[in-house]
Amino acid sequence: MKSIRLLHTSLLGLLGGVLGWSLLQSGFNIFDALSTKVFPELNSNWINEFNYEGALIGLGLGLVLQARASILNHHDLMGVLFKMFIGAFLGAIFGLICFGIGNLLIAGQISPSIGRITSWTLLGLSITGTSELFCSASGFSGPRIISGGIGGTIGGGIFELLLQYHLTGTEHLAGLVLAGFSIFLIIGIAENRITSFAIRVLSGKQEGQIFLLDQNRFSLGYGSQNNLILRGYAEVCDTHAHIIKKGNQNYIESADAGGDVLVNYRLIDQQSMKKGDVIKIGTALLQYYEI
Amino acid sequence: MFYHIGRLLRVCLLSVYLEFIILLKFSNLLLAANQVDQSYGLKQDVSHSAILGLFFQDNFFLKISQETFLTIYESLLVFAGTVLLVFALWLLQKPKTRTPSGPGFQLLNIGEQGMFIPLKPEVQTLELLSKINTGKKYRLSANLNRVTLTPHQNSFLLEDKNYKNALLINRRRSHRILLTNDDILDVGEMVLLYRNPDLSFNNLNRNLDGSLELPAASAKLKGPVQKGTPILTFLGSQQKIPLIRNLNTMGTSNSNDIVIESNEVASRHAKIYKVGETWKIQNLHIHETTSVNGRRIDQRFLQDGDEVTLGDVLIRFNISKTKFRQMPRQKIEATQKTQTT
Repeated sequence: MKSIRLLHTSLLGLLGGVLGWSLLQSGFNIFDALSTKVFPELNSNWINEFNYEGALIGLGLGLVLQARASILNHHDLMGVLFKMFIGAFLGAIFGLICFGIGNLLIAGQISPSIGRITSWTLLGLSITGTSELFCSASGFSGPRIISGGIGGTIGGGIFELLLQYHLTGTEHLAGLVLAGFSIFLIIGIAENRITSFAIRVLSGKQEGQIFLLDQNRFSLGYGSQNNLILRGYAEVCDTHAHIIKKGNQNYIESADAGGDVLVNYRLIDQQSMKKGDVIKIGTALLQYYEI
Repeated sequence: MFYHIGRLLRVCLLSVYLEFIILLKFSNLLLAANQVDQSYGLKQDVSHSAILGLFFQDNFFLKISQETFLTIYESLLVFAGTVLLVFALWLLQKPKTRTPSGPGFQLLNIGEQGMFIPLKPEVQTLELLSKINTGKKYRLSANLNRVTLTPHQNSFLLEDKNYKNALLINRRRSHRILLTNDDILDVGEMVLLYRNPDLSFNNLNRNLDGSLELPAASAKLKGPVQKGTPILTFLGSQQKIPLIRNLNTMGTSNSNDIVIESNEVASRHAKIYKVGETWKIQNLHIHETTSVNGRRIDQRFLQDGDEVTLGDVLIRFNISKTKFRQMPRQKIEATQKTQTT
């Protein structure tokens, strides 16, 4: 299960790299077309096309990272598209800022390779940070953001190495793909290290879905702001319950006074969970287990 | 959906604000540079391009050449392809569920990939659990041949005739139960989920052509059932009947409010009526038994969750907490029509 997830994540990293690369090409093409035909003044020194390469790379990586979080939480297609759009938007902004900082550093007489690695690191940090920003219930998990930063550093390092030996491939395709891959791989490894529990749905429409408890707070309910969305079940509230990680223990607590949470068919307000416990929320039957 | 849009708008505003601040900072720099130019006439030393050149140098970042490798259409094609791949991953991530027909047990132990043990509609013992091939060997108690499964009302009656079998049904010690959908059984180390896809709530609501035999019929309701209405759930078939009148009689006769089809139920067997804010059940037939929670009663007040037995029919009494829609009666009416003609 864990290894499949890691594979999934790193594959998405590759995709993110390819996406960034293709966006880079199309962005340059569009810029060329615009600056030669429509706005000749666009290609001045002030708005240089190369300032936007960071934005385009960030767009690709952010899009894929948000899509990944959404896919792993079994959101419906609309939800995935929304998340992708948000991720692309934020990724573009952060890419612009991060690579701008890198440019500034290079301008400040720092060697270009260090500047580039710095901007990759910042990009890794910020795109993981934004994905945390959208898990409304999670208490900003530090390790994951740091893992994004480490991934960025490693990715930048690989990129620089490839650049040194002129191995980055056509238009830096190999470099970009490897950098994206390493960011996602490190995030995946960090997530696998901190998650050891999961919940699976036993009955009803969402039968068979598995949710890894990879956050400090995990919310369950009907509404789309939840981590685990239970649609198609009777008597499930908007936000029905929370699963909270305290140390090594996971606690489940009822979030809404109207919604009953049953653990092993006993009504509870807050309770620690053991592996194999059966949770009943409305008519949905869930099982908590260790992986 | 609206929540997402709201959040998106907030994020957009925030980021536009951020960009605005950044731009403002740069434009301030430019303005300052302008002023410096005008007031001191240092045009040769500090010019716009010099300041901009400092921030955005010509040795561009990733050193992508001016002539791009892909044309715009090709790159858009690659983009679309990657988005499609994300979509494919989304499809792959969807769990594949097989919906087996007929009742059976699903093995819930971790590592068993949703193994399904079908049950034949005949009297059998739980001994069959020791015969199946599992990935891991599970410890089971030796007396499983004393636990019988008897077909009853579209479901199975589970009876444990040996009290040394530590059998948990819905995580409670129990010896006799009519299995309903999504019941969980702990047998030794095995955790089993009883399922009967034909009798799941969705299927029951959809399946109105009469292919399912339902044990009871009542007056047809108009509109949803309000909160606070008592509901009788027939165990086994999971049929739900709301009590909309203050006095409800139950029995096999057609003159009853709730018509129950069973050989062990009298024509007028019992009545459930409202007393103030509570509900009371009364036995009407001297030779037949009505019991609540396993005790034979003459009359008794009912509480939420009580289990009522009329002859061999098991009913659970619940007060509804949410609105729900009742299933129209179909099967019994149809059979009665054929009988009368």
